Amino acid sequence: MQKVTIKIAAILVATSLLYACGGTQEETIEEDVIVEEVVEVENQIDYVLPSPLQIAELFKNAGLTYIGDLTNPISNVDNYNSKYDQKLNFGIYSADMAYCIMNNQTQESINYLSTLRKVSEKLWMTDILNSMGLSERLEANVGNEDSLTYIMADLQMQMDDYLDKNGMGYTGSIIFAGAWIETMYLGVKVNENETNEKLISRLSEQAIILESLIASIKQNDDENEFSELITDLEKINAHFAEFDNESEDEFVLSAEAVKSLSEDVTALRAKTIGE
Amino acid sequence: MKKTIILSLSISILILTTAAIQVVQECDATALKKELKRELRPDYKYDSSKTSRFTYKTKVQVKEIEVPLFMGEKYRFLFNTAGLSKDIKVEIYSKRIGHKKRKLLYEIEQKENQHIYVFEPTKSRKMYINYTIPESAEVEQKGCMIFVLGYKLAVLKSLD
Repeated sequence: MQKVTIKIAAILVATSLLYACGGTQEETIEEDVIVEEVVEVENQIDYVLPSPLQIAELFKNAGLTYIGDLTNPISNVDNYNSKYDQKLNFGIYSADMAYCIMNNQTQESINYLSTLRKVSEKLWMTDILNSMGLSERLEANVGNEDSLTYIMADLQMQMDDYLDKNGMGYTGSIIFAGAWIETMYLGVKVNENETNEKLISRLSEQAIILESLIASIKQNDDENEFSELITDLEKINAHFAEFDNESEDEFVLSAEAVKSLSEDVTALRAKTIGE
Repeated sequence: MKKTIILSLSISILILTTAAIQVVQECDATALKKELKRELRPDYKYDSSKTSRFTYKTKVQVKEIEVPLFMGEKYRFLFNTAGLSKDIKVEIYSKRIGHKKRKLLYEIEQKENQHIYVFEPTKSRKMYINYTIPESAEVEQKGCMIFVLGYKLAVLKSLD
């Protein structure tokens, strides 16, 4: 009986060791494999979308000035009850916070941070905002735009990491869609207020991003949850129909095209924030 | 008899748990990204990242990542290969797989004792990163590749 027990024990330990040390068997196994150059190219392409902060900074460098009351009022936060609306408006508020930070509107930035915290609690992403001591860091760096943008970049990294760890990569695309819509809205509104050629050039260049954004959302839409958003974004993309990905020349929208783009972006933004 | 079985079961569980932890530790994406983040300072800011996890197969695999870049701006591509048990080929192209005008812009030559690689494109347009993962007889083996993108739009002051 004891012999049987010892045998069972030995088999258990040996099996575990074989499993755990599988890596050391490489050379022996490879000898038995017929080497054949078979290449499997994945059909699915991965997309790296830029941070909303980068786009906001690009716009700021092109002359995006600060106009109060353009951003989504924080009082709207309680209206977002579905996860879809919460994700989109997390993006909207992130873009608003970036806009305030870059224009030294520190108190507004802190208010938006509190709002983001509220939305993130609904999305179970509270850890990201709590772990960084963001409010303290924002307050400690009042007036120092460079430091504030670095803090925003840190927040972006934490968020990317959180979504990645929790297998929520698709959420990142939806949040980015919200941020992109808001940044575009701020851009077209500031341009409506005072026409700015540099800003128009940057608005036109967004064609590159929109293409990738739509493709990225489509890739994660097995259950057709985002078909309405895709249709809305494709409508915006139609304004960039003349953009040629192959061309080395700068693509700039005409004044008329900017006007109609402004109208559609404004309508989509109103729909997204629930105006 | 009971004692022997319990003892051997405990040893087995311990061995299996250690093996499982090792697999996870092979790809601690957060730590690997942090290493890359240090390579951005002082001039570049974190923009975005992509962790590509894969299981080795008996055939060569190719994964493609599209990276849109804005014209005239400066970017830094950072790769961390520490989560790989086998070398993989990393190439950056001007166009996607199958495009006639596709040009190779950069290729990482992996070196011993080096796991961080940097590429700064001279022109900024849409780019395509290709990972070519070699075949392996050990199909259970997993690995991960970390990519971080940094950007520099203006002269930034260093941050302590």
